[in-house]
Amino acid sequence: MKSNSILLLSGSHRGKKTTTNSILDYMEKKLSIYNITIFREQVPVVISNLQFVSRINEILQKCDTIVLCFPLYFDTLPYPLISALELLSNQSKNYNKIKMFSIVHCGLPKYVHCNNAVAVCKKFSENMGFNYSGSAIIPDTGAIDGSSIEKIKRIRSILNNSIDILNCYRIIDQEIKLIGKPSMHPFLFRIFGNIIMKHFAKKNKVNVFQKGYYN
Amino acid sequence: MNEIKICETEKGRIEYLQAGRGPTVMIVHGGHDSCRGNYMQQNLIENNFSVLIPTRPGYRGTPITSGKTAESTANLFAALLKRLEIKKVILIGNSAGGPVALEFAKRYPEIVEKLILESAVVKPWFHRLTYQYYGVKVIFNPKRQRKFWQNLTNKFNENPKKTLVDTMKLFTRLNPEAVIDRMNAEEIELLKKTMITGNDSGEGFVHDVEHRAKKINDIVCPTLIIHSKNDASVPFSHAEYTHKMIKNSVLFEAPTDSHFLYIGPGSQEVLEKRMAFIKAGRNTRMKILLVNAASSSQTEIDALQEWIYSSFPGIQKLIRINLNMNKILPCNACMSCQIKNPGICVIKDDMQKLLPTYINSDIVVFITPLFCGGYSSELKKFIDRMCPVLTACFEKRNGETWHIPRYEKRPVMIGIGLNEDPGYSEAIFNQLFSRNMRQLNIRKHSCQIIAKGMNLDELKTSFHQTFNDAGLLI
Repeated sequence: MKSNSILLLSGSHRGKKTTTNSILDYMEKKLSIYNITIFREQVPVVISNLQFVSRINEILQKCDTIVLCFPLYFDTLPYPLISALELLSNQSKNYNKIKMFSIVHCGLPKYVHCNNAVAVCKKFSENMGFNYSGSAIIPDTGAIDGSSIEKIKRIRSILNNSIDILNCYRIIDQEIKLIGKPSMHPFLFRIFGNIIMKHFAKKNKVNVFQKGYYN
Repeated sequence: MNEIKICETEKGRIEYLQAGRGPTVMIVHGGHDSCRGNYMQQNLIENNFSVLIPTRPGYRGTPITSGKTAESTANLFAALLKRLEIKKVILIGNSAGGPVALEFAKRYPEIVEKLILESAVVKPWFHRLTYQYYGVKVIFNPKRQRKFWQNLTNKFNENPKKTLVDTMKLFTRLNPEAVIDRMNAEEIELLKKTMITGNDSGEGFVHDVEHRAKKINDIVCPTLIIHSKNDASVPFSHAEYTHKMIKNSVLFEAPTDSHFLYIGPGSQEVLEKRMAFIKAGRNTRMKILLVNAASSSQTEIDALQEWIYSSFPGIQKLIRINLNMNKILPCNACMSCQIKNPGICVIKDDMQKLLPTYINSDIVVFITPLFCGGYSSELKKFIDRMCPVLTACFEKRNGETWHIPRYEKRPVMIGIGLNEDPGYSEAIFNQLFSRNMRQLNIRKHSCQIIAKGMNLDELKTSFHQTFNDAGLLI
């Protein structure tokens, strides 16, 4: 079934200049072409009251698809997103007509880091009664940090595929997993990553390996 | 994990056997032997130790080029431990393995926790001007040694008792016939294998007689010397000399009949002494940190705390952190702890005191209710803030790219998930915990899901199993 109204939920609490926002900006721009109603929300830093949750619940009444986009922290979802999902889960309703799709991006060059986060999303989808349609995994996104992804082909192509799935231009009767490519081979990633990190530390006149707390 | 493997180290190729789980006991085998030998390793494995027996150069799968001297063999073993990511060992040097064990303990005091010398050679075996020295060189010449062992095996097959008695003369000061008579059938079978049929001198033994343990008074780790006065192969004077030279040593006069400490009357006392020495002082001065993210599961946490106190009687400190009672803000991924002020989090909240506590702990236990198989948000908030324990730089570990840990010392980690149904999302929790442990480069860890509403005995059994899996119980 084609999506008519989509909730794009950002799992990053870090303000506007984030990779998650860049991805969702692109998604929003592309989806709007297809005359789809888009709701966009971002998890707050601290979910101290239920206002956010009730707003999401209200949106879920109106839309047929939820897209969860988040950065990977320690091989799973970041704290604010887990917190939001916990609250949503506690107020769970039977949303069996809603389709769920997750977009996970991580800074490291291999997609395997994201597998656990996808499994958690799928479990959450089951708990909520959503229909889990799949996930897109985008590795090696560390350098984006809020900049536009229009010119990054490897990310653009996986997002276009995701949009196709949401629009049902591709008929798929099972959960799908789209896996993006890293910008470079992990070996080069480590070499350049280490050079860049040491360079930044040097600029700040610190040693990247220094022991912070007394050990 | 109980098979013979070959490892290519930076110091050369080495064959080794690794078995069991828990703190590592490395055994340096005796002459004419290899990692296939019997060093009562089963006794160690049953007591929750893992056993590592490297084959010394010149024997079986380790070429002599990997190390001809005691010094180079010690370096080879250190390279093996580095490859296996083993940071600490309890070292046992047996018979001709003595000089290598002593050299290793002297060169790598940061690795050797305790040293045990069993009938170990310490002083030069034979003077170079003696006929025994040249006898050894001729008989155990790599080209001839196989023939020697074959002849001995043939003799044994023709007349087992006489061959055993004749060979035993070399290993006991007592009447060899009486010594053999005191053994049961099982011990005689083991003796036959140890003394005759299981032996292969390779290129190793002719080099063993050249091995020298120098400056052993530099050894500082606790040392147990086990030696029998009835040993005719390695005189008791070796043990007395070691005891005199190593200040922190204890000499135990084994009540056994011969050089073979594990065979015959008195062997049980030897094993008991060895185990008591290995276990002594372990679990003491340990700092344990309980990170509790389950505010509503007091029964389980209280039971765990009580169980830890009873299982680790000598602990120095047990700190229990209830996460909901601490002010912890979410990580804002600012990278400040990586490139601006490495290792220090910029957010001024309770994590400023919790992170150093984590870093200085020996065991860290995470207790969390499960959310969709993963951690609860309360624990995730704490874990997200652990970024300062990693550096910004990357390395390849187990075929994946990970951040390099900031601290050399890393705790043993235990993960306890609480759920109504322990089978629920078990795979997700196990996968997540083990991946996080890989990320933090934690070598010893274990996790388990505990069902809510378990009775005290069931809880204790679960805790025992989890801590045992992490190699913490002895």
